[in-house]
Amino acid sequence: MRAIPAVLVLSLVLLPLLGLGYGLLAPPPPALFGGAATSLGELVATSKAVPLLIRSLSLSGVVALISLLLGTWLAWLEQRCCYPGRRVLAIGALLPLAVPSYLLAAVLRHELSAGGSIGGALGLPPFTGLVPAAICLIVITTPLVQLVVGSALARSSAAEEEAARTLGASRGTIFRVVWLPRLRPAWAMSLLLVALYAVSDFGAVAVLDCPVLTWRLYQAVDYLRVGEAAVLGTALLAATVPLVIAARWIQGHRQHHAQVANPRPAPRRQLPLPSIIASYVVHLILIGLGVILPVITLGLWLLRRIGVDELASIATPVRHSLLLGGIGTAVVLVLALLPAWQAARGRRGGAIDHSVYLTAAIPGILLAGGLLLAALAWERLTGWKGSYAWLLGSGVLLMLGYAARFLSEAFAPLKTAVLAADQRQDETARSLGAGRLRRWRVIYLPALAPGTAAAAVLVFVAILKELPITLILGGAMGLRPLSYRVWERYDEAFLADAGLAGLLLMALGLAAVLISLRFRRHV
Amino acid sequence: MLRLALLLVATAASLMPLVAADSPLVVYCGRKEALVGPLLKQFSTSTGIPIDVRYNKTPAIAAQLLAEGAQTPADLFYAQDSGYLGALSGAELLATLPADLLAEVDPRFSDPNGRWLGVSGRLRVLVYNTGLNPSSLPTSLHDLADPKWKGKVGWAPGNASFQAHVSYLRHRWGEDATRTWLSAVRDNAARTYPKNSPQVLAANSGEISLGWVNHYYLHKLKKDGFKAANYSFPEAGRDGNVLMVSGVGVVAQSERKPLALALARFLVSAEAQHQLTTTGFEYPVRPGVAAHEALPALADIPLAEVDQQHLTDIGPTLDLLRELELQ
Repeated sequence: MRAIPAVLVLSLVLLPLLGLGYGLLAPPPPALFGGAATSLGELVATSKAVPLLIRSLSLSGVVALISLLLGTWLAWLEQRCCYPGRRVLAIGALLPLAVPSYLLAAVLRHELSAGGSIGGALGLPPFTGLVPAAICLIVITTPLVQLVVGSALARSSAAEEEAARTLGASRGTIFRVVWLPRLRPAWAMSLLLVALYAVSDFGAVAVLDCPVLTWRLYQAVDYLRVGEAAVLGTALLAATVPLVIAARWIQGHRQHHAQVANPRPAPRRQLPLPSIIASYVVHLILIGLGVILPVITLGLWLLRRIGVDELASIATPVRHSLLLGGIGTAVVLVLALLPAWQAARGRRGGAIDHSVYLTAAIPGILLAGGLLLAALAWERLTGWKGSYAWLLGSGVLLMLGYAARFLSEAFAPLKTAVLAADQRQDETARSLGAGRLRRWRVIYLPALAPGTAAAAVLVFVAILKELPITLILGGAMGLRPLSYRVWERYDEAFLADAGLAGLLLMALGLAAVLISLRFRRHV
Repeated sequence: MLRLALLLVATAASLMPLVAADSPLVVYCGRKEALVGPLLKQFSTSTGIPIDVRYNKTPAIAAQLLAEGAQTPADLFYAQDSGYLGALSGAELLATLPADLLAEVDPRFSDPNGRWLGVSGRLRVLVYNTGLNPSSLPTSLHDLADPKWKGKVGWAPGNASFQAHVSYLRHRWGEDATRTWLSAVRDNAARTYPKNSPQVLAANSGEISLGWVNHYYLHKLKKDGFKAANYSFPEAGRDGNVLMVSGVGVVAQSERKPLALALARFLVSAEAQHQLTTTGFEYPVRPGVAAHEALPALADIPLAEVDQQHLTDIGPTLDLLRELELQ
């Protein structure tokens, strides 16, 4: 019974899948744009779902593996080592998190191809295909790993390591017994976040000419090939299964709950010179590609031609971005808190864990299409004329779209925060006669606040960068945020405008990432 | 917990602007706001008719309209390419327009069945790096498969204008000849771009020698020292000189047809046509309105003779592009 609220929330989040199912059963006028397959087998064959799925999983596997290694190393350097410039480099390496993949991909293709300033000087081959797409995604997702693993390291106390050393344990044993259990949950969470990001990304693969599942899916939705979209969407759902299994395997069976209220940080090691040089080179590459190059390129676009009109008209997109980011974040957090609570405290944690990640692999355009179809079905089935327009115009569908897309990003830190709240204090307070409200205010709110703040920043940045859901489900409300502005101005080759909007989008994202650093111990 | 959640969600939702009570004219717009936004705003201001414009890519917003069918809130559909107007017309979602409105534009650029109206034209051209000698440029589309251009040609098969042009070629050359030509250009290591503007920048930087694009991106990107220029084929290669038409259709289910027709009429007025060519470098379709001075006159270009309905035949084109793994 207690799981009912969480199950209700998850059902709401899974609504787009129902909509797509409905679209499949009651298709609109068929084959207007071609693609009329006669059987499921033919549909699977013509959509090339299987080879595309393999390609998508390969891309996300490579990205996840390299990001995990790089991000863990960067987190270790930041938390456990000591060398000149450590703090500045650590913060700089987190900033690519705020850059939308389509924007970074456009900049990298522009600058690193044979005709670009860097590609031309170095004589590089065309910056397109699987490897460039992987590079672009690695630059964006490595900070996620750094953030999550860094938090796990920061939360750990030196006491256990010192005790093990006193007992004569070797370095290998200390790593296996002390650090590995702490890192495994962080790696599992990172793997899910990074792999799902890579498997559902459209911007980088489209700009860098790397055909994967999401690319074909976007076309299927664009051309209303509902059957094909459903097959490809199912393939993406299937993609989450091996990822969740891999994450659970990495996490291991035993959760490491040993939290210390005030962890004593482990002493930092002085880094030898070769490692310092390696650290500088890696940081330079990541920050250079992920932050410096986009800022310079967009700045140069901006300098092309910019008039007072453009500067004045940019205020509205900024306002809309903040409005959407603020309200969307609040709604997603509230919706994520229920399953997070149930997963951490209830008996059906595993099932809830799986459901939360189910929609995370599905690209925004499909979720938005599914919600539209669900709302149309609602009006047809109930006969309530105007309910479709209301659902679209009130923002209800938009918020459900954000929830379906970003619930997992809020879920992970919130679940960690709920786990960290001390249940024994609650039991003690209850035995002393404290009411529910008072217990919430004194025990749970302080415990949940930091994790909630960290989740809020992650979701806020994600909504800031989001485009397809906002475009399809937010258009009816006249909302035109910065992500929209970058897209439409770049598309029409108004590069100065696109540059200005891109820089502001990055600035808002960077500000949010910097704020998140204050709460990172709790991510 | 649940009550708290519901309360917060309800509060958040109530902060969102609701559907306007005075029911504005709803425009599904596949054109970009940067280009047509000021024009639509001008119509709203001068007539006092409130407009709710919903922008998206033309294919996506046409697909939305098709899915919505009779439930659509849209009154007017403004498409970047006539292909999608044709698809909606085929699904009986567009109303027949009055003859006097259709008569305001060159009849070559509207639906022969009177379901949609051309608003402006975009010419298919080659953009080339000015380091090339103009006399060495291709004389027809077939030359793009010449080994001379191996790895030097750019194209964007995902672009709606590209697809409309290929639809024309299928009708003009036949399915097999079009398939052969597309395969040959692909095998000549043509470079795929997501859209047109990066091709123009790539031609400027020398990354490619030629790009198969629409004419107006060049004029927007051009600045001092720009090393790219547009090129139209001579008479023998006129199949490359296709004029694509953007246009509007009034949604058959609309309860505000007179207002939608007023907007359509405004878009083909001399004033709006002048503005479209001044700010967007597009070709006017209303006789008597001069094109932007930077554009070559249409009369000087041997245009392909296009039946606009052929451009709307996108389904088989998409299947062909997929068969060749260009999509």
